[in-house]
Amino acid sequence: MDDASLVAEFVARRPRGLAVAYERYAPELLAVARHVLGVAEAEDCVHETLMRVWRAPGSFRVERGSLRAFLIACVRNEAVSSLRSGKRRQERELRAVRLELEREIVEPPLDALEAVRVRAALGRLPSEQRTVIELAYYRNQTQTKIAEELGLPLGTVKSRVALALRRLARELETVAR
Amino acid sequence: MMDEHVGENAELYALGLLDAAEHAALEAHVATCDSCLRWVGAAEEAAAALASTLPRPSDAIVSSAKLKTSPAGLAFNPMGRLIPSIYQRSAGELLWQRLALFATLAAAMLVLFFATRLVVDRVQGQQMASAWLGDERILSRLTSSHFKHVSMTMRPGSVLYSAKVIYAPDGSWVMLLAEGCACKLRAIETIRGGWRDIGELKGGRVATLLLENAGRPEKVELTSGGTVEATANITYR
Repeated sequence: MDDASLVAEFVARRPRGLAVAYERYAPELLAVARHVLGVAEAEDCVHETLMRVWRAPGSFRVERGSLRAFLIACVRNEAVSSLRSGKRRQERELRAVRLELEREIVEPPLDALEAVRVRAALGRLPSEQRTVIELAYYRNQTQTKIAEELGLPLGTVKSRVALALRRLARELETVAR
Repeated sequence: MMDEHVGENAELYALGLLDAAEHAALEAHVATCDSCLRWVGAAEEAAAALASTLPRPSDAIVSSAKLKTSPAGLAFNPMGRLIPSIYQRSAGELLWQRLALFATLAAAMLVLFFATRLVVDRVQGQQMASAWLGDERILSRLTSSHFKHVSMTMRPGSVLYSAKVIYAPDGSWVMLLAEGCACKLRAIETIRGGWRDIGELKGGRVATLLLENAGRPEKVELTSGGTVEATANITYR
């Protein structure tokens, strides 16, 4: 099934659209969820997110862009929300230790070639922008936490994060595939 | 937020930095604002690129996510546990899935049938060869004497594929061959208006019967379960 057909099936909320989306994107979605929550909770997070998104009429429109990027964003938001929910707050310290242990195991990136390209693009960002991406995405810190760590006003952090991601998008367009 | 464009919240959302209220407001806004929808989509695309640098989950993790047994007990479905809880299939989809299942089963049965048939044929062929080779009377008749033959007329819808009578020109012996039925076949001969049962054919898919001292029959019939399956009128010189 090509991407256009998959999007059509997904938007029409046909089970096949969900099934194929899951099959196609599961490794990435699991990686995104695992990065935030760890292995044990990643699978639940991905399943719950996909079901919620697929069931909601109009949750995705083709004008938005790619289904893959949309689902990755949904899973990341779900994972971050889960991480920061009150009932899980007590577990955060323990989870942080566990995640560090998991990361000590050297694993290849999801897409080695694309990872080289993305790292090259990240390398072209001004250091202050690269830092907020590092803290927000790779270390899963909140805006408030980033502001505290960098000693910046919250509004500055928001702006810097937005600028960093926009710059990354531009750099990715210029870095050869 | 509902009345304002998303602005930098597009990027904050894509990186998972918005709180629940901001997130909900953004989703509500992009539902009605196409320009912000595209802006958010572009931010999602950039954030998704970062995912490629994350460690790849092991195949075991991905596989276990797929193959979890569902609450409905449907193990090994391609969607793992997702299918039972969200599959609200339409009647048309159910029909097609059932047709596909039926076709698969039918194909499997056909394959099984022909495979079985092949094995049975080979076994029966071996049995038949053994019967022919073991029956020296038949071999002797065929090698040491002249003979005539006639194809038998099959009953419409007969259980037999074909049947033939090989016989001595003077009617002193008659041999019957019938192909295509593993059922019991009995031979009946008619002599001068009277008939008699001359015995059961032996063998596998091709059954035979040699009747010595045949008595110059005028007609031979093969019966199965009381039904005449094949008939032949015998002529002599």
